[in-house]
Amino acid sequence: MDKPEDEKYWSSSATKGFDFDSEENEHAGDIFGATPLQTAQLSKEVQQNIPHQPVVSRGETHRKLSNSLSSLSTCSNSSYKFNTSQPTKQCEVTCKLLSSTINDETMSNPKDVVRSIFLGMSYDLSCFKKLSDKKILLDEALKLGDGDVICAVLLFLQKSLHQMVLFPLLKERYVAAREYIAILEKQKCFKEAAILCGELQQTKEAVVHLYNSCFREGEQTILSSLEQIYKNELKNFKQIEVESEIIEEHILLLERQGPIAVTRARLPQSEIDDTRTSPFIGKAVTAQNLVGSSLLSTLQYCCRHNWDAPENLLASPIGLKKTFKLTERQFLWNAFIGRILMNQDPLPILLVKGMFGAPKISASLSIPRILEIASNLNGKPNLFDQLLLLVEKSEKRYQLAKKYQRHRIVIDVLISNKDRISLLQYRDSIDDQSEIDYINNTLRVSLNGYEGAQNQQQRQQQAGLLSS
Amino acid sequence: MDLGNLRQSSQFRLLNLLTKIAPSDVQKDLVIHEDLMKPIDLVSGARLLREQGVDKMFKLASVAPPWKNYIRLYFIPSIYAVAENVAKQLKRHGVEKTVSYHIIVVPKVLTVIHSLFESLGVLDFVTLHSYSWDFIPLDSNLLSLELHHLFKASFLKEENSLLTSVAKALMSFECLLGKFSCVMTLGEKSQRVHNLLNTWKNEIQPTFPVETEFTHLIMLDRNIDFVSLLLTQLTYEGVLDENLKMKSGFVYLDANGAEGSQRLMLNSASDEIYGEIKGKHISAVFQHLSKKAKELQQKRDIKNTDSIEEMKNFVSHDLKRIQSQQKSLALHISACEIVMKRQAGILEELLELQEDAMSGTKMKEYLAFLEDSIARQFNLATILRLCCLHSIMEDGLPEKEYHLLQRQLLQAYGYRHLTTLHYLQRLGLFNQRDSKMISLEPLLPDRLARVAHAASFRSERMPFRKICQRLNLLPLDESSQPNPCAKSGQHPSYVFGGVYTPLVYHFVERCLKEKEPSLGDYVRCFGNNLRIGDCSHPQWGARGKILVCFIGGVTLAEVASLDLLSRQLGRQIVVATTSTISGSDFMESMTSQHTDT
Repeated sequence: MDKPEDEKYWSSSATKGFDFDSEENEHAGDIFGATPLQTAQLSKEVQQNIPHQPVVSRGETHRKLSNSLSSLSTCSNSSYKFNTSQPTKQCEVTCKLLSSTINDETMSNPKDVVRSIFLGMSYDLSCFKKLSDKKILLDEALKLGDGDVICAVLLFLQKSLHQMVLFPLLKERYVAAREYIAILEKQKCFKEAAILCGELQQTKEAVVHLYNSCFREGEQTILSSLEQIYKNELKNFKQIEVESEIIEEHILLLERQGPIAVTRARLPQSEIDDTRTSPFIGKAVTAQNLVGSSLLSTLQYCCRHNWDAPENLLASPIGLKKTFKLTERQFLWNAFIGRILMNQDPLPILLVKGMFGAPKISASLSIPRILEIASNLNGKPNLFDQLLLLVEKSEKRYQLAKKYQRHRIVIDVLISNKDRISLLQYRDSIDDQSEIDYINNTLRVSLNGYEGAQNQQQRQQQAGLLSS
Repeated sequence: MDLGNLRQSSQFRLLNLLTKIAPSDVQKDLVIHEDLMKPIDLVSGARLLREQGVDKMFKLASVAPPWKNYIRLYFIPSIYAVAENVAKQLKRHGVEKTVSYHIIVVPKVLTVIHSLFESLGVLDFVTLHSYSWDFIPLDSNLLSLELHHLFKASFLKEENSLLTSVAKALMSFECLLGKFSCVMTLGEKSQRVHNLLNTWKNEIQPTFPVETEFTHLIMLDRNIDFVSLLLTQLTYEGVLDENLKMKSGFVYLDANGAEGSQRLMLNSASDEIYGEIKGKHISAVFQHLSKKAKELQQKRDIKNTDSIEEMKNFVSHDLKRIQSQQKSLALHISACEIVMKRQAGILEELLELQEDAMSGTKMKEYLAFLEDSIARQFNLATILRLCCLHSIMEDGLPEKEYHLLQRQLLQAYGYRHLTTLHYLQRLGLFNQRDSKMISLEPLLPDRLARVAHAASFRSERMPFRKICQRLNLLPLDESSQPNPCAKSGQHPSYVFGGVYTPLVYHFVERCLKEKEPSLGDYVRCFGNNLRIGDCSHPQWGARGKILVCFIGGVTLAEVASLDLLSRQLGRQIVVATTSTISGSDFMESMTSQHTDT
């Protein structure tokens, strides 16, 4: 939109009734600077004064008008001169000035105005005073279809209409309503946006606007703002049970995070930034960025630093699990990652007793995935050995053991498969002397055993032959 | 055809604007928003700006830069929050009579932005200017307006202010390269742009060149086919975009795009090797590169043994070319390395899951994977892509499943993503299956609210799986075996590993059927969203060039599929888009806390 250039602006049709710059109005400023109220009052005074003023001789037909005009000039003591060459224009001006009714006749064609906005020409919307005119204007803008033109009209309506009137108008015009919601969002009027969404039956969106408004002022005020909307605003909307539950949970989490972070920050030794991570997990949080982190990040943090905290403390992992009704899987993964990051043995967390008392992985977490993450996080070797033994299929166990270079397990699988050739190949591929010795030993023992068995068989056969 | 004309026209307008602000012999300072740096570089380059008297250049930051001159320019996108920051910065600075500020807003000074400057009372010393560039050629077959915020503004917030700028750019295109005689639109925004284009033409009555190269304009909305955005792109260029984030035709080989890191210009006109591999399936890329490396080595070796005369000739002609090729070869190889490192152990599993989502099989395992990964806080963008893909293909999730996933996502990645999930829902990407909504309709208080309700959601839309089946976009359906052509690049679905044919490929192909487009299926699938131009026009059968315009962004995989179509038909297809877009980029912008438009 261009800044309206003065000349163009004042000569545009919308404002042609007034002509401030005209030379003949030298002293006009004294009069024209008045408010409608003042002019109305003035007009009243003038009307009252008419009978008492000496009547200046004029033609019968123009008596009333000239009366008022002359009285005006005497009242204001100005040297205002009546220009007889343009009686009609002057008539208009004066009538307008002196009349106590505000003239609300629209002078511009809405279609033309909308077109001017579209083409980036100067425009004036102030002549659209009646609600019906405003409606027509908005509809013309919608018909043209240019979002920016619609915005221009909406900004005008925002200034000139009460929300009570504007919203029902928008409710009937979905496209305009959406544009207006976007404007409100930019102006950070989230509450108004929420109300309008409510009117449009989009209550879930209304909640999102309110929820977003809580993050405007920075981290410190989030909790109190959330509590405020939870207590006061949400009740105005229907069908938002899920959303309000989520907001309630968010409040609950923030209430915990604060104290947890504080206790940690008070401890003397500061956390050493642990850079261990895996592409399969999220980034761990520290005491500094704990507040505002997610529920599972908080859980993982507590599993690292407050593993043994009794359940009644805010920082207790088990407490968190119960309060937020976390699933076994959500809890186990984070406990596992938390423990391993603290260089503790995570295995007891993962194991449960299987059907015949044999241990198995709880919540059926995938062992290959656990191994992958443990390897990324530099888990201890014996963890791998223990986990690999839980892999049921020997083929799979063999592959995984090979991937993580747990030689003993690879060798054991090969031995149990009696795969001598692979065993020899594997022996040549590794450097670990103790494992090489183990292979050699096994080969020797089993070779002896094998040869012994063969000899015995031969002997039996020979004996059989002999006896026959 | 000379797409370079487009660049010249943008350049001309920019230089005109700068001289209008102040003659070129007057020194001025320039502050430029990060998003505009690359496009401006492509439009004019720093040298031309300097010739126009631009002295110091700064990147827009939260504080005012150390100014040197009295005329100060700002170059910003038409994003309200950005404009607000600049306005407040200037307000703090206050009035100095000798200083004048000029804010150039791309593509347009929106009314809201103007009224913001007005309300802060800074218009006494600030002048606002609109500047929009024409489509910027990023490659020989790809033009972009680089309006990255258009998608969010138009599709998410449903603000349509930027669409006028697209219409203007199309009009400018027609003025330079000829008028389109056949126009087809698929989608509400495309239709709107087409209407605005006609309005502009009626108002301005521009003159068009007599000879037209481009006869067809086919416009599509991004939200017509979200699946192409959600699936992992498997062409070389697509993979680079997803992993290294292409910005105006450039990728940085350093993950952070830090200054000074190696950059790779993705333009087949200036990089022969890139031209050869950009559309290839990634599994074939490395092979090609190593073949190329051997060839280059051979060329050098052979020449080493030649006579002095030939050697001289070789050094003055071929050597430079070989050297530049070798340099680009090295860059491409390191790009491959970075991607391989990043995707190791993840990509394969993802592709399998996508295949399941498309075929609708193994859904229990699919959900188990999601739940498990969410519990570990695996990369959010990847997870959301899978969730959305699932939701689209199943036409929304059953209530219980939806709430379970919603809850677990929020618990894992933060409650703040309530907003993200809401956005995805608004876009129709992650929804609860729509049984309640329909039954609720008669209960809504008045007719108008019901209309609004119906308009707001795509309840009247055909489920996407049905669309796919009707248009035959799922090659997997015919035989449960992956398509053998998938990797060879003969079938358009190769860009997604044979699981899906981009809708745009199919649509354009149908539009260009001899004599009359056969779009009956599209009418059934998209109803009013499809508009077919005047079929009786004599140009319908003409074999002119085709401009395929995407409103809301195009993925490079889709561009590659159209490239294949262009080769199959023997007709040139150029893609014009409001911006390039990739699934990872899209999800990141959805999840970011700043959703300013």
